[in-house]
Amino acid sequence: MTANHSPDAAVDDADLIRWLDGELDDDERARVDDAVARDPALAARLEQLRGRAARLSALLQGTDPDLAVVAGVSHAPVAKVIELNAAWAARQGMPARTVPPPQPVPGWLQAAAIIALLLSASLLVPPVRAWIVGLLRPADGPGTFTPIVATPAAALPIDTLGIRFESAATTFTIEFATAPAAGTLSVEWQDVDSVLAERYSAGGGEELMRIDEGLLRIRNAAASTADYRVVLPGRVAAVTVRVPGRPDATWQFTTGAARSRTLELGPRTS
Amino acid sequence: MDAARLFEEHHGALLRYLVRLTGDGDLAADAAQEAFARLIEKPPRDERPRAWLFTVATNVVRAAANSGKRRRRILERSVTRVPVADAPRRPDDEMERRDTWRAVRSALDTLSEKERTVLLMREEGFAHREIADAVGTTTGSVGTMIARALDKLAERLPLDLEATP
Repeated sequence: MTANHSPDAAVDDADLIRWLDGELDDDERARVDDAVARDPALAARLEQLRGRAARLSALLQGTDPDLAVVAGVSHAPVAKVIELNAAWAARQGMPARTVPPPQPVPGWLQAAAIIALLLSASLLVPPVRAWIVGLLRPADGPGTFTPIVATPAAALPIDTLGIRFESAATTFTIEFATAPAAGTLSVEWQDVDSVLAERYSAGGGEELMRIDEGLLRIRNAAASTADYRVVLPGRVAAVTVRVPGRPDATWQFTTGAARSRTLELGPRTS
Repeated sequence: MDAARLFEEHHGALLRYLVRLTGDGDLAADAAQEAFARLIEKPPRDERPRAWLFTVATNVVRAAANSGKRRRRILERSVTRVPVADAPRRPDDEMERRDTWRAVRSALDTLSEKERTVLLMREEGFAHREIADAVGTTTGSVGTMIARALDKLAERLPLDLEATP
């Protein structure tokens, strides 16, 4: 039942929903009120929509999962600690220490735990990690974290980027051709078995591809400034950047650091 | 912008909305996390950060659903199981709740992506203008989409008192 129900065709389902949601101004509301008062079918439709919306809300609320569990916050770690304590005590021939049952976690503690989880997980996002590293980095002195900057690439805007990844090796090989490109590309070694490439631009992030092994080739066609960032995990010892067909245009970097390094290719625009 | 305060105020509602939208607890948690990560990375100029968060998270879900990995995951997803973890409940209650969850999930899946988004953002109390911005439509068409979505769901769920679906 989606058609208009009033001889006054000006009031339709959209008006009724807007009436229910308080989206109408005084004049519009008066117009709908008047139409509903004059047309029993329209009044019935209004009640039908109101009832359906209310019962849908009840169904959704009645079947929502425990959001704390979905978010990864539960009593499971506490239970595990109790279990391990009991096992350890049994091996030692000792009675297990009495541990009170887990109490409901206060709201503020749940929020703190969720924030900690979020912040920890956000370190997996290269730009966020780079931002946090930037905040923590001392201005000068030993241990200063300095991104590796491939300055030759500044003259060679990147169009096609190829990343060769071998899971058993500790090297990245990056190839690129020359043409205008768009956005910021971040490549991260997600774990020992795969590489995750994401492209960030003004419109937000976009996962390009996850590769287990082999060659990841990315092409950016839109004309813009080139701005690529490759986040290298600590285990990467060497990086090679080259332009296919131009053996002279090769840059090699030895990271030599047991920490993540950032390789920036092309001019930064911001 | 106080990210911690925004997280405290909106993360729960955002996660609830995403679980309802996707039926996938992992994807919902990922999308909520991604939205807040982007909030920290590049705070929006928008004066409505809540609407911004929901819009970004919806776009993350949409992009994920379009990727091969997520597509496979969605295809493999079965309405015969509840894909999100949950707290222990009494067996009878749990069985009934799961049956209802499956029915709701199945009904929501019959809606178009836009209809589902519009309906579930309305559930979270967003104004029609904010919903329209999130799904890329006009404010005037939001009411029509909500009514249409309710009609579709009423064919599969007991949304009318006299109905026996």
